[in-house]
Amino acid sequence: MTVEEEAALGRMMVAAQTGDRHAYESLLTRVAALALAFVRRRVGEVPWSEDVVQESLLAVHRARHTYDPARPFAPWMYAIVKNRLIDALRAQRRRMLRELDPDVVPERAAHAAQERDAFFRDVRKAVATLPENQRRVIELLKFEDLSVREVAARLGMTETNVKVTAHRGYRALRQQIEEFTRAD
Amino acid sequence: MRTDDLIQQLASDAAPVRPLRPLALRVAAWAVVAVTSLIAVMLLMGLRRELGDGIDQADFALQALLLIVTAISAATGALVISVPGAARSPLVRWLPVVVGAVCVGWAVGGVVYATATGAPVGRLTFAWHCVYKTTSVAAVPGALLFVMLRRAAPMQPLWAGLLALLGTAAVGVLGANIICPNDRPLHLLLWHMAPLIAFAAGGAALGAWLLRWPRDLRSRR
Repeated sequence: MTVEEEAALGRMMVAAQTGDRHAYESLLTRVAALALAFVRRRVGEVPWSEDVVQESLLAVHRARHTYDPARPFAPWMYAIVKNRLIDALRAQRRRMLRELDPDVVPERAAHAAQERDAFFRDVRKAVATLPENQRRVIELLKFEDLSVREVAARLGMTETNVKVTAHRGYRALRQQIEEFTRAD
Repeated sequence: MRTDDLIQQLASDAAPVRPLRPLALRVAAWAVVAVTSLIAVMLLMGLRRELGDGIDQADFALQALLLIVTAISAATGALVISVPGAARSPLVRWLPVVVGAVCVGWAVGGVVYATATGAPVGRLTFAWHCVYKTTSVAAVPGALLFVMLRRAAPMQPLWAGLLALLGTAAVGVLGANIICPNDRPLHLLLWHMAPLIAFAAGGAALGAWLLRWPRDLRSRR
C-alpha cells in the first residue's frame, strides 16, 4: 500500500463515518483485496481465506467509529485483519484436533453425516412447500449462489423486492424446519 | 454469502457513526468518576482517625502513589488496546501489571521486614469488610470502564478486562487504605493488596466473556 493510497483510504473512512455509502463501498472493496493478500501472505492458499476476509469486513464495519483520522489507516486495518486471522487459525486448530481424535472419529463422522442428511432432507421438503416466488428466489440465492442483483435481473424484480421475498421465505422456512424437526 | 454481496449490504447499512472521543478525554472522564466514587465511599464509611499523624507517612504515601500509577496506567492501557492498531508497544499492557506487582511486592516486603525485625506483623484474621470497601469504591468506575471498552473495539478482550479491573481495584485499594485503621503488614497484604490479583484475574475472565468479538459471519449465513 502506497502512502497516497493509505491517505485516500483514511479519507474514505472519514467519509464513511459520516454516512457516505459510496465512499464506504469503495473502501470495503479495497480492504477486501488487501485483507485477502494479507491472509495469503501469512498462511498461503487456504479454503477459508474468504471467510477471514468477510470476518474482517464485518469487524471493520463494527469498529469503524474507532478509526482516528489523525492516525494512519494501515495499522488500524491490519490490526483488525490480523486479529480475525488469528481467530480463524484458532478455530481451524480446534477443528483439526477434534477431527484427529482417533477415539471419536468413526462414530462422530457417521453421526454427523446422518444428522446432515436429515437436515438437508428437511430443508428440501420445506423449500418445496414455499410459494412459487419465494421458492425461486431462495433456490437462485442459495442453491445456485447468485447475488441479489443477479436474481433480480433474472426474475425481473427489484433488488429490494428480492430481499423482502427472500426474508419472507426464510421466515417460512424456519417455521417449517422447526415443525419437521419436532415431528422427527 | 459472497464478499461482493456482503460489501453491498454493509455499505447500505453505513449509518453515520460518532467517532470515539480522544484518549486523554476518556481517561480524564474515567478518572473523574473514579475520584468521585472514592470520595463518596470515604464520606459514607469515614476516614481512619489517625490518618494525619498515626501512620508512617512515607510508607503510606509511596503505596498511594504506586496505586495511583497502577490505576491510571491500567485504565489508559485498557482504553488504548481497545482501539485497533493503537498499542504500539507491549509496555502499554505490561507497565500497569508491573506497577501492580510492585504494590503487592511492597506489602510482601512489609511482612518479611516486620518478621525479620520482630515488629508486630498482625494476626491471621478474616477481614472481608476491607474487600467490601475496595469493591464499593471500584464498582462504579469498573462498570463505567467496561462500558467504555465495549463501546470501542477491544482486540484483546482478556487483557482489556484484566487492565480495567486492575485499574479500578487499585483505586478501591487506595480507598481501603484510607478508610481501614488496621495497618499491620499481614492485614495489608492479605486484605488490601492481594485482592488486586483477584480483581485482575476476575477482570480477565469477565473481559474474555463480555468484551469478546462475536463471529458475525456464522449468524449472517
